[in-house]
Amino acid sequence: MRTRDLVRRGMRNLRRNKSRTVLTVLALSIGAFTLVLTLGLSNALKSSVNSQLSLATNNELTVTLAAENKAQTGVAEYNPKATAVTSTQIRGEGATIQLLTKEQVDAFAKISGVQRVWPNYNISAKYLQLEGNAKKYVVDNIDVQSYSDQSKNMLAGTYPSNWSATEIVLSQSYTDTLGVPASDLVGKTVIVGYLDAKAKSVEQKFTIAGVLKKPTGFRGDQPATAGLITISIDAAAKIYDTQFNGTRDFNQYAYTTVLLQSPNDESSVRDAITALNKNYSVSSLSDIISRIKTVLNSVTYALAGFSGIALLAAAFGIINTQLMSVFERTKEIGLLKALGMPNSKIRNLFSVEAILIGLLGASIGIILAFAVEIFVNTTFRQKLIDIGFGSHAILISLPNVLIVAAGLGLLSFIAGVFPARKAQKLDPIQALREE
Amino acid sequence: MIKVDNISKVYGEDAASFQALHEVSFELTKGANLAILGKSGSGKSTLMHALAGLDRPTSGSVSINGKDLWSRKQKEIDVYRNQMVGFVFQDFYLQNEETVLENVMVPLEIRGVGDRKQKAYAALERLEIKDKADNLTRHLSGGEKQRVCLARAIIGQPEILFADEPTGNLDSKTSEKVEALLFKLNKELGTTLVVVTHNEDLARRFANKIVLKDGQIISHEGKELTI
Ligand SMILES: Nc1ncnc2c1ncn2[C@@H]1O[C@H](COP(=O)(O)OP(=O)(O)O)[C@@H](O)[C@H]1O
Ligand SMILES: [Mg+2]
Repeated sequence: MRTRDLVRRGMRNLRRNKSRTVLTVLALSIGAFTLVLTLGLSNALKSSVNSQLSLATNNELTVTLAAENKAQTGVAEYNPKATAVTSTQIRGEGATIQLLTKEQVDAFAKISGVQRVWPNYNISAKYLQLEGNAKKYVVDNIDVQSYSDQSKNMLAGTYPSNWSATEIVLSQSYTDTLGVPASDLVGKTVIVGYLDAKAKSVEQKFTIAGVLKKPTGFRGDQPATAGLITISIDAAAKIYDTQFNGTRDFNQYAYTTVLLQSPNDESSVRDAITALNKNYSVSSLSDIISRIKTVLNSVTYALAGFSGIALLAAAFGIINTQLMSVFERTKEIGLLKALGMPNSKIRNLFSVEAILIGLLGASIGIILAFAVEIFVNTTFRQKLIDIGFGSHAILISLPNVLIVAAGLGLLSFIAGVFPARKAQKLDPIQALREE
Repeated sequence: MIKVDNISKVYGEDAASFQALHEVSFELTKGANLAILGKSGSGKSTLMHALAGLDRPTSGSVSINGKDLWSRKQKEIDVYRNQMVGFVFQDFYLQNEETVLENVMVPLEIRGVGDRKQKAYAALERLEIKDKADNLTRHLSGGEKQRVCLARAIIGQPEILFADEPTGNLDSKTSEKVEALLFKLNKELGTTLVVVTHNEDLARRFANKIVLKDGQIISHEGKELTI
């Protein structure tokens, strides 16, 4: 018997037992629906994480130095000669780090593949004042220039690609507060006021190169970004010198940033850094992304597992349906065998039927999932963009669909094996003699 | 040529076992017609099933055109059932939810033949029931059903046609018609015809006869038959 005739017979039989087929298919489609939706949701989450984090550069490594006696429990003995030790929460592990010295930071710059190294200067400013304007405004935070492309984030002006020490980029909040249109601010001079090491006020002039849009996404609602200014590394180094030279903490840094010449250098540079001191801990954005993805994957697998249980239950439905079908069609099977249909084809007849049920269930589940995807994504589109999540809450991919369809086909096939074997074993004469 | 050599058939096992055939032997020439007679339970169907490749005898052998049947692989026996023989059942065994045409095409469907409608129409025409081709078989009368069975049995152009009490469920008038058709096929197509019956009138038309009692041949006649 040809495959198309097997399929035709299978479909005919499914049509004949409509209500039974519909119920079995429904059970399967519910499982398929949740599974596809889970995968689609996870895709959207991953893509959102990707797009938000890829705004930042992938070229930077952050290096910290872990404390020597990490395994120590209890309280350490006081040692007046020891370098200052700061307790810092890093990734929630409660690890203790040692501060980096200037020599250590400078050593990183000599590693091949490293473009630039700058430590965390930990500088602060008191106020910002537009030249010719009497009012002064608070500076919440000073960012150091970024090497990643910020052109998308600019409200006005440009984000310098080659920073000079007198350039500054302001956050949108300042235009809103100053009441001056962003484009008018570009090229103007601002005065930044800060305290030197002896707590004496110092003022420094900068030229506004551009204005950054209010950030969306993870950083969107952080108050620290309200009064945010961005200056060059060189300017930051100079302010640092003014603020800390002469204090006890001078030239000691909690961490340092290492800019790579290319992302390809990451592993060789990491190796070189840890070769200097095994206590160096190197992290990068790709680390963070992979950590987030691991968590997302675990959640996805857990949810997919629940759908899997639903599908398993549905598989028993297939076994039941097919056993009934074999039982009801004893005569037909006997006749087909008497007319010379080989055992293998009898088995295939029922396997094809089981697979058809599976594919039907998968199709309905997938179609429903797509419907929900379209509904959710169109209904909540603006909201999703507003909160910076991205434009899709659900992203069902072609591989998702193919995997679920193939998986359900396989599951149904396996569920159909036992009934199909039962059909194959029927004795034609016995089957025909039966009343 | 059909050669039956000492076949016995035992149903069941041990205390519950029942011997339906006792060392039956005979030979029938190709193209002949044969009636297997005997009372109910005498083993007629059992013998026919052994000849048609439907049920394996417990011992002895059946050979068709000099080739042993039951020592073949199952796949070859399937091919034998599908291509060498046609079978008409007493109870029709039609698929009632399907059309006459679909029922008739089943042997070719199993064989994997793609274009089978034409042959099905030809078979239906030969049995004078072509006009019912698109009817569901459950709407047919008994005589019509048996003619559909016959059409299904001959669509694959078998060398041997078996019929197990083909007129058992029919009234005398329709029996007459079916009988006539059986002999017509035997004559026109040269098909060997083996029919189980306990209808005396029908038996009289056969050139060769076997009478079974308790699984043994108690009498026989016919020129093309040797015991
Ligand atoms: N599957 C079976 N198991 C046990 N006994 C059987 C079976 N099939 C047939 N028989 C017995 O074998 C004998 C011959 O049966 P059968 O060949 O059908 O007779 P007939 O066709 O002449 O009426 C009967 O007594 C019947 O009861
Ligand atoms: Mg019988």
